[in-house]
Amino acid sequence: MSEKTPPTFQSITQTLLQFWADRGCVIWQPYHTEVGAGTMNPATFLRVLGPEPWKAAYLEPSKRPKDGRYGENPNRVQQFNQYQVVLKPSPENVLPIYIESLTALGIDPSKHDIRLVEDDWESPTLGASGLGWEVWLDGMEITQFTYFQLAGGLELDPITAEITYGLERICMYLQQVDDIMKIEWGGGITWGELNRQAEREFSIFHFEKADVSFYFEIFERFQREAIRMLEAGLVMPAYDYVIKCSHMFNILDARGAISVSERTSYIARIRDVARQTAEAYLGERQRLGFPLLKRRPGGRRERR
Amino acid sequence: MKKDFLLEIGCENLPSGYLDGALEQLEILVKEGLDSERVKYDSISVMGTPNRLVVRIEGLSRKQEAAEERIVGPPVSVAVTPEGTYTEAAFGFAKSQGVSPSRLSRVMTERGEYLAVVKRIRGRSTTSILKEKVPQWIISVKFPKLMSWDSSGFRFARPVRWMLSFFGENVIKLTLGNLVSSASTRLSPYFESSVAVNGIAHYFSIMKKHRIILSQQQRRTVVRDMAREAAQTCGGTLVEDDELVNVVANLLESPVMLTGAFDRDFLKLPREVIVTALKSHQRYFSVSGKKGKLLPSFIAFADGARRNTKEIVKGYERVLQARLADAVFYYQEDTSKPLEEMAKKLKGVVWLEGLGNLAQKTERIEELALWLRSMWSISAERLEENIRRAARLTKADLASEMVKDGKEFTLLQGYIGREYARAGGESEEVAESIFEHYLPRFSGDRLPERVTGILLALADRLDTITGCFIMGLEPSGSQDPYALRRQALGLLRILIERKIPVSLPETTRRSVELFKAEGLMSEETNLEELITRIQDFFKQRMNVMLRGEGNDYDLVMSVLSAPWEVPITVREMTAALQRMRDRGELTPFVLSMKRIANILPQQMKEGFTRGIGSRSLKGLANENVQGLNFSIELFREDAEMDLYLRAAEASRKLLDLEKSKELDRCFEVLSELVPAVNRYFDDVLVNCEDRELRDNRLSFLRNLYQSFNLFCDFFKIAGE
Repeated sequence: MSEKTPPTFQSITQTLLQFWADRGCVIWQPYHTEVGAGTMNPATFLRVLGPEPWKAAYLEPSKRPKDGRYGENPNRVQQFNQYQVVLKPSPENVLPIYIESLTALGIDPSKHDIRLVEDDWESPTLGASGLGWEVWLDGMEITQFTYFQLAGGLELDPITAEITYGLERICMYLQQVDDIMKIEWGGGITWGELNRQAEREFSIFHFEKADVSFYFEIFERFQREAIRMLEAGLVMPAYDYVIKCSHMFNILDARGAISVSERTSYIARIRDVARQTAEAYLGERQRLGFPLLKRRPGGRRERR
Repeated sequence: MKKDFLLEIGCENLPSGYLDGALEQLEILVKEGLDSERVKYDSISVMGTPNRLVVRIEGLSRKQEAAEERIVGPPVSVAVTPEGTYTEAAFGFAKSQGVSPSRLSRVMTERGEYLAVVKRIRGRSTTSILKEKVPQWIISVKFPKLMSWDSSGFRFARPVRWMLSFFGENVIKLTLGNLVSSASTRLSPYFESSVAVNGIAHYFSIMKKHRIILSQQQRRTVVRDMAREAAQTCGGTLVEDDELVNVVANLLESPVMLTGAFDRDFLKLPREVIVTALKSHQRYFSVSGKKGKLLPSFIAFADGARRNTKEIVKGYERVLQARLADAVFYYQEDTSKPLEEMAKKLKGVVWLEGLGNLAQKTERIEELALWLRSMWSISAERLEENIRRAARLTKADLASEMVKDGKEFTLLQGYIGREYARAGGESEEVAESIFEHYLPRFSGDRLPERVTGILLALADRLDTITGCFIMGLEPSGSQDPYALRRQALGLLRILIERKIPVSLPETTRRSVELFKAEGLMSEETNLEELITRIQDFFKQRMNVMLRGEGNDYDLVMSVLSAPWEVPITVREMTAALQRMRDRGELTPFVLSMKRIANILPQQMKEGFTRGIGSRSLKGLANENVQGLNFSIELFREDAEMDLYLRAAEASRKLLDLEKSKELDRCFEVLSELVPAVNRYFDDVLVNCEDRELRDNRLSFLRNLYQSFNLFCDFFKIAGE
């Protein structure tokens, strides 16, 4: 890629998609309900559990109500995009492959300061944690690189490597713009033109307008639904409601409706159903005989 | 017979904070391991970078030293007949050890005489020992957190991706997890390509050629020197920061220095805000110009030479710009309204679960600080007004945008409060005291200087300790989540070094009452028991502190076991005892004090309190013997009257010393009694036949015991 014509947002996404498809990943899709990060997509949170191998790459629009700034801050927005890659088991050369993916994006490691900075990741709501780094490109954080150790309170074996690219950050760097709104998305349209309205409106919604009692109520109902589905042995629907609870919590939190002391108990409630869901998922996969274990070394499924 | 050994453990970037600890442990593990395996060597050096831990052993013996092992068998009484011939037991033992009976010998043990056999163990080859032990040493290195990355079960701080190992010219194949060591290294964990190494010298020349500095000390020196030089080039001096030097040196293996700049406009931010923005997240050094003002420059380090440093610096600058812009935003928001407004927001900030909000804490700090002022009986211009004003503002910055976002500027609590107070036109005493009330922040930190700052620092610490004890959050074992030990030590240091003679139990009582008045304690809480627990906690801290100052353990315990109240007095009294011991004067003194106590029946010594001691001391001083339960009329020997009069005189002196806060001289006064005490015990038969006389003597001695026990528990003093 020539340095004179920097890549657009969509071409960067395309490059990553191709790069990881070439390395045997399933190209998965964003989840259809709000998530705070690609980790919450069942393609990560549930697939990291148990012995089945799994390689997937997908874009994930990530929603964080608290980070909204009415579309007026050059660095902070309530919805941004992650490119999520999960590799299970984590390959011996996962770090070199990641560096290669940067080269594919036009970031030449011989010309830049690429630094791994210790960052132990933890999600209290998902009962998940991992060890790894933030990756800094000339001082700017562009990726979270994590070896997953725990999900839903369960110890993981094999270990999954999770690579989460911050697409906007990478784009801002490659396009040399200092305002997220100025990112060139593609087709002659900028990030701001696409999203500024949503940023402003969602910020008003999250901070000022969201109906607190309505959200408290549906939090309760979603949580009950998750538990009810678990009791019915329906893991995937149950997990949907876990994610929804988490998002309802994020809205209430942004709205300032949750006091410091309540916070811990809400997080614990979500963690609790997340843990039960993780256990139920593992049980169900076991019952199914861990189908993804039965694969030919070449990567193709066996045919009859 | 000797060869050199080299081990390289190749890691994906180890956290900078883990490196020194890992290298220290590795060195000890290798040393102790080789010693316990009886393998000799000339020297061991352990060094490393985030990407590699390296062990080099020079002059390592090729074989383990031979050794003799003695195996003890049956006792002689069973194995040898009275005639001196071996029994079946002896033959059986020899057979089981595979030796002829002629090699049996006799040894004396604690349990008697036994038969034994001495076997010579031939030395194994060092290679086989290394293969067995090196992997064990590596996995024995402890880290704050461990992780897995494959299914081998090998856990380490970060994935280990390669191992290189040489013994002399030969590669040793060491196995660890899924890895086998080889003769190749990698220049970076970022790339799979490896570099073939043909020997130990070659390894070090490869590292040198690629400017990888293996020694962490050397990297520190290089980083510091380069940063200083760069600061001069920028026209200023480096803002020295050892902590930052250590962090940076352990973040990279081939330091390359870069300098950048930021907008001059940002310089209107408080200095520490800029320094912190540069340091905490980005790990950049600041540059100071003339008169201590910062220059709009920074010094950063990249790992390894890169081709377009200009662009890298541009990247650094852009990130820094964003951080400083955040700080400016916070600063403008915060200073747009008075600090008092912020203090009001503390009502909505929980301090500790169940202990109300931060506004309530500042109210208690205010009350306690005022109370301490009156106990200290210090006066200064407008002191009360300053205390009230500063106390209310102590925690205001916790509600500021700058501090509350929970990121790097949170470290600046107190400093931000001071800067905002100054910007808002508060007096220097108030502004400075807001900062000082957090001092000391760590061991060896400076102490508050201003009277207001001192009082607030004391009040805040005691309030935190009391609150945590009320909630049952006191430290136990290695658990001390609220750093109460550090807080207690800080409080004691201030009381002692600033020479503040206030009673700790009384101050604690006042603090407890303040919580009670706010209804923050359950009705069932036993106040006395709570105060005692807190006092015991201070006692432990005093113990650690006084021993740390070089006082003997038993002397510290003897003073702390008395019902002490004022930390500075305890310290002076301990030092006084220590001086007496160092001059050899302690033994006769303590012996005579112990004689008094020894003769008293146990029940007379039980339940000793400060009140009982004071009553005896005052009674003796006033010669008010009726209240003390003995009678002068019943004295029969001259020695009795003599000791009584001298003790009364001593008691008066002791009371004076207490008043003039010179209790460190109490042992001088007490030791003047030694001849009279000794004469008393030489001349007087305390436990005589006459019951009335006996009771009177015991009662008199009991009062002496109770008076002297106020200052020191002589029984805790060892040896004498």
